[in-house]
Amino acid sequence: MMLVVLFYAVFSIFFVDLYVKKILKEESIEVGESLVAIMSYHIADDLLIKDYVSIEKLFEETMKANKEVAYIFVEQNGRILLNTFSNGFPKELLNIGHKKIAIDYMIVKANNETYYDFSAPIFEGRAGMLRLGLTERMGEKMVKETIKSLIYIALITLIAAFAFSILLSKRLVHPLFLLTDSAVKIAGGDYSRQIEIHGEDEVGKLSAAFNKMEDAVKIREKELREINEEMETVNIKLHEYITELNRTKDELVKSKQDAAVVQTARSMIHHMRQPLTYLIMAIELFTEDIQGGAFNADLIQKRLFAIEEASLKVSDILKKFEQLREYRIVKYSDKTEIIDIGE
Amino acid sequence: MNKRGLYGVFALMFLLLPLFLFSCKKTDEKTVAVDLKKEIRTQRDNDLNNRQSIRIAVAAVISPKETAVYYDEMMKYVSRKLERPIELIQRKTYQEINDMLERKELDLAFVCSGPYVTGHDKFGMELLVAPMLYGKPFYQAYFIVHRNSPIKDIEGLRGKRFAFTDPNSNTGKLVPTYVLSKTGETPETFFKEVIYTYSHDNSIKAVSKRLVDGASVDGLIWDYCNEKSSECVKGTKIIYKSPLFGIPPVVVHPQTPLAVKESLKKIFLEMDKDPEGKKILSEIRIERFIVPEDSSYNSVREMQKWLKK
Repeated sequence: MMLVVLFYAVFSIFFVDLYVKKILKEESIEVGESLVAIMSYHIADDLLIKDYVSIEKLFEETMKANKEVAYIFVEQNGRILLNTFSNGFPKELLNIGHKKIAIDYMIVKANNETYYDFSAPIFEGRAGMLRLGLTERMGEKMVKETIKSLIYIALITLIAAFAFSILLSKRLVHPLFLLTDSAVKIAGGDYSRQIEIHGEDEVGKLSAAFNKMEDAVKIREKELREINEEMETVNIKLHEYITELNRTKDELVKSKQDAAVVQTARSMIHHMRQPLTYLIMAIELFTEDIQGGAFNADLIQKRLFAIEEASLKVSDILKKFEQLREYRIVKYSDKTEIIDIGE
Repeated sequence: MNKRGLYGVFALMFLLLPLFLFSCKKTDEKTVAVDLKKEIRTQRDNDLNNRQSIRIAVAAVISPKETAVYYDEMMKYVSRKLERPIELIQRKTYQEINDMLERKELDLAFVCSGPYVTGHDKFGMELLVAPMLYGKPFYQAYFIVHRNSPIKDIEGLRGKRFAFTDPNSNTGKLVPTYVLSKTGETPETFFKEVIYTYSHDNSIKAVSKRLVDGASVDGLIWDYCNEKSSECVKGTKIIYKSPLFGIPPVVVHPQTPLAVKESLKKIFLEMDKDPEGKKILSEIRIERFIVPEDSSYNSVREMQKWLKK
């Protein structure tokens, strides 16, 4: 805030220095042009009848009434008829290049001062030229006074802003600090302290709301704690049930496994029975043949082939059981259940 | 540059722009440096210093600006004819002109009839020539009021505000004072208030603008303004015309060198015969100049005598 005040103070000073100076200058030019126009008209008759006393009186009154008027003089064909310089006429002021036929002004810089020098023809120039000088001093003084005032106002405003910001910070920051501290404590689980900030303003309302919130949080936490304890009890029981269930499951699985093993074994036996029976038969027949002395090649081949076939079947079944990963019960239409050991 | 930075730059430019605009100078403004300490002593314009020029005064029959305008061409003409510069002198009052002529500070003067009679009596002011207007070298006073005024005669001016021109003017002061005195009145007793305007055209303006209720003016001036369609005259009406008096003459000091007198007389008398001179005269309604008789101003003398009683 103080930066803002400072910024505007500096800006105002620049503004006054440039803009107000410009306005004052324009006003001075307007005043000067108006003065010479009126005066040149009024002194024409007096100048023609050489009533210099009246003209000098007018000059005197004009300078009294307008403090910015620094000098007035009348020149005619290069001669000075009247002038207000008390010590002598500054000759360099005579021909500075004014227009002869109209009201005109020029800026004259003389001895560390600046003047607006106005000229007006008197009676169309027939009676001479009126010259009037307005000093910039008054305008500059006014600008300086204004800038001084602005600086004082800026300083006072800065001090006031500083004091106000301190008050404001105390009013706002301290309660916020308390609120923050309370929030941290609440986050840490400490609900013991209420915030002692009262008032009808927003800070007071915030504090009241905060306290309400703290109470609500306290109640909810208590409820949550109770629920938590209940949940723990239930959890323990659940755990027990699960353990029991696992055990039962294990037993079930084991019995299932046993059943599966038994089933598998039975299935294996079932599957093996036929090829083994066939093999046994083939071997018995072969033995009989050999014992009977029948060395029929075809017959022997036939018997050997049968043995080979039965052996391969057994081997095949054994391979299948080797690859067994799960067991499936396959129910056939005749309600036979066999373990399908993978097709 | 992010958005915030851009806004900042624009804001700064917006704030600084007026500073640049206000600091701009007008291009046609001229500045000079002078040293006011280099001083010179100036002499007031000294009427007596320049004796090379012919000094001709015109009494304030009309206002100084009007005089300068109307007599400007005539003075230039006389100067060319004389082959000498002419200096036109004006003063606020008729008395000042008389005094200057008496002190020989003038070579020639256009005066009013009343000051001629006074001057003639005092130091022998001499007639040189006199203008002729509207066929006669005579003129009269007009008493005028505002054109909307209910006043119809001199009696109607009783208790009213009245304007004189110059204290020594014939038509502007002497005639109304004489007219009132004939009825046993004076301006102080007859009028509520009297002001002096020091020229006839100013008196006409004063009546026209209702600054006064009535005035006595030179009839020739009123007629001239009326011919020129002057707005001032249109706001007035004549309620009384005086008898005729000798027209305001051109006079010299009796001790003016004869050669100068003759040269000047010749120029004025022959002016209407010269096309250029005739044109100048016609602009101011003068037909020609004549040599007047002193007796033409006896009526003015009579009024002065009467009032001195």
